[in-house]
Amino acid sequence: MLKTNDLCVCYSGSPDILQKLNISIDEGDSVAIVGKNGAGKSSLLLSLVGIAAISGGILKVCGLTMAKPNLPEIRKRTGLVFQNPDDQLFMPTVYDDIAFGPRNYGISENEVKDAVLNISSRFEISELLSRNAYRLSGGEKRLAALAAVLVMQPQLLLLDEPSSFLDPCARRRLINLLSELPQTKLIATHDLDLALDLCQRVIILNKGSVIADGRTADLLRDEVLLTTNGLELPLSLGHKH
Amino acid sequence: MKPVSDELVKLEMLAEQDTFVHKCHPAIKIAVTLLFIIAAVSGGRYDLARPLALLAYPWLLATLSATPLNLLHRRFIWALPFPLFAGIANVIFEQNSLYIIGGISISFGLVSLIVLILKTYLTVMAVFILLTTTRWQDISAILEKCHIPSLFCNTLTLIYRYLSVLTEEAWRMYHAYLLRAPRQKGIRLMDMGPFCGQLVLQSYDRASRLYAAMKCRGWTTSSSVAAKRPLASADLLYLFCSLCFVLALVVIF
Amino acid sequence: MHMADALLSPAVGITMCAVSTAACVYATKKIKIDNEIEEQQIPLMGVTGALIFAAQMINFTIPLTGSSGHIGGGILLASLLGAYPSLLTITAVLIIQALFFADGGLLALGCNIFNMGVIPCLLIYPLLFAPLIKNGVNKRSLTTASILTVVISLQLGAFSVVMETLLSGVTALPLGAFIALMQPIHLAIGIVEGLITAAILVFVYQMRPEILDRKFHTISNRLSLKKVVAIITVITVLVSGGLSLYASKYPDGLEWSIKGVTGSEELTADGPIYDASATIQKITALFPDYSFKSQEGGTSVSGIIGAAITCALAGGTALIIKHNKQRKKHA
Repeated sequence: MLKTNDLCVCYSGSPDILQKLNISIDEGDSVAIVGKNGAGKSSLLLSLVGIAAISGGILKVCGLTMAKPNLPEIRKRTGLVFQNPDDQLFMPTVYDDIAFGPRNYGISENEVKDAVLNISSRFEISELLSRNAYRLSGGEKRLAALAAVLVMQPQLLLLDEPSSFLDPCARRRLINLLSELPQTKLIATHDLDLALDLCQRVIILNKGSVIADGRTADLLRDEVLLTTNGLELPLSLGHKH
Repeated sequence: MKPVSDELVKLEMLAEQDTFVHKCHPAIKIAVTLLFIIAAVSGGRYDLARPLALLAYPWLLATLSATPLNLLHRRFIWALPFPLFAGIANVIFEQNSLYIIGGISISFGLVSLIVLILKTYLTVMAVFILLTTTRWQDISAILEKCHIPSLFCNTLTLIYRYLSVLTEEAWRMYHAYLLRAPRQKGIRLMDMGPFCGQLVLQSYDRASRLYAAMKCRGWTTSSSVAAKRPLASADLLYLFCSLCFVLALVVIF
Repeated sequence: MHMADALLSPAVGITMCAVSTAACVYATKKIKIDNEIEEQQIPLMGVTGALIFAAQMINFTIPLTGSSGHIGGGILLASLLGAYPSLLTITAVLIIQALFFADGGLLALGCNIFNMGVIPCLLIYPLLFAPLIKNGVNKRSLTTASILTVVISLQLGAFSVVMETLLSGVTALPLGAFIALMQPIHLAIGIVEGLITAAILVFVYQMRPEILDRKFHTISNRLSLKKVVAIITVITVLVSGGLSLYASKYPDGLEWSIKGVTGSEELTADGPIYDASATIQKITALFPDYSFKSQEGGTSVSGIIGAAITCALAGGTALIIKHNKQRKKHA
């Protein structure tokens, strides 16, 4: 589903944000990417959809090599949910926002309508469809943003800090929803408890390199490893102290 | 600063009501509003009768569409200063009397001041009632229908969406500033550069994130972000009635 | 500085709408979006437009400005986006202000777009701002250019507000007095706005020079003399066309202002310009007989009484409908 070979990413002029990354993810996996601020989590996600430019190495997403001609197809097969839903929801209403992606791919208006109604009833946001994004709560915005991405039925779902801006209740609802989704998931997060709940595997990034890659239950128990990389034990595992 | 989005929410809630004025085709409402404004301002400087008669239209419409008039009157006061300024000048410059009622002479200037205030009231009302009876997405859909270039429609849609986000951002920054400068009433002029400059930089970054998010969902320059909505069947009766009403008033007075 | 609908005659309002529409169409044609960098311009236009609202909110707190709401408009946007995109952005901002915030009006949109968009973005920015920073972008050149161009834009804008109001014939204020009132107020506003625009641009330039630089390079190829002449001709035609229109309708009341503008008491109201504006007038004056009927006096008292009765009837009907609705609600 996803394979990188010595992947390097940089923004113009500055040193590489990601250095020689080697990651491979199989279909159906749920993988968490953790690391402190500036470790390169968001840049990794952006490079997977061709927004952050690759400065070296090879990247294969959903069976396609990252290259300009493949970009539209890669973007169709992947779905990136941004950290701040305000960056993503820009249409006058939630309905139009969810319909934005399908319309861009030239799907007929009837099918678009079916898809939007379908996904919104699944996410229990049907009553929000006629609202403007600024009249939604943090949790509602997050669900709308997620629906807007999932309506295109991506094979690979990329989530950037999905639990930010959420209260505990909305966070729990989101975790339940995400755990039911069949897609391959790559989740960049600071919320190690969420990683523990959703992902079998975790990758720890620091300064643009992979520090560790393994089973969530093992890595997130390793207090030394976590502290040296600017992380803390998840709350649910920290009680034994 | 906060009231900006509050105000928008209020308007939007009103526009979501379900009276027959709300159900009417947005294109017709826009057309009627424009014609009404032209009718309202086309009266002469001392022509008191026409604006007075035209008051009937917004009042009836506001009642039919359940639009609260007090909200409207606040808006009218915001719009008043400049016409008032021009009108008061007339009072000073035109002191010949036009009417003498019960021994009190009423000057040309005074009449023209009243006419100006009435015109302001009428035009502000017309736009306001259009807004409280028509949803923004329907208005932007009309623009799209009229073949306004998508570049412009996109800009309009995005500004409407982000003005509340950015004003709230500015509001937070502003209060964070004031909390650390308790003796000041506002931001010092010398701090305005960095303060607004930060906002510019943040907006710039937001625009590039937004661009990324749009790209991820298959956006190209040819696709539009303005709302597409099938338009309801034209309510010609409404057009006919309101036109007759306004025209009748104009012809009589 | 927003013109209000009530201050306009339909002829002036619709003429200015046509002028501004033409300017916007021209700007749209001029914007080329071929590559990804240019594509990014589209969300940027939306977000910076929204930024203008945010910036205007903050300005309310500055004690010096008094009138606010319009600070940091044209020149700031033009130097962030370039001349043509900034005109479209300002236009969109003005439409939203007219609709949602009762700033200006629908008929007055054309005037407002011209005064606050076309003047700073299409005239002052390329003709004055660009040459001023051509010899190198630095703190000093940015500051001089911003203050100077903002002040001149506002002066021109205020002057066209004066002209538009006078041409519409709603005020008896003589041209001289009107100008004497408007220009100094807008000089003060312009200096403050210029200072703020300068401070913002200098800050942005120091932090992220690339945001401004690209735009500055693209505008620094100067406008050809031919274009400048063309622009000036268009403005002259518009102003004189408008004046002759006004003069032909109000031959007495306007002598002073024509004298002030042209130096002679007579203004020949014929020729192609007059014909064109008369045609516009004919098309736009929906209610031709009524538009200018009361130049000598007001309507008769009986007319006013009739209107008042209509108005009372309508008010009464409205009250009855409202009353019925409330009763239904309670029932």
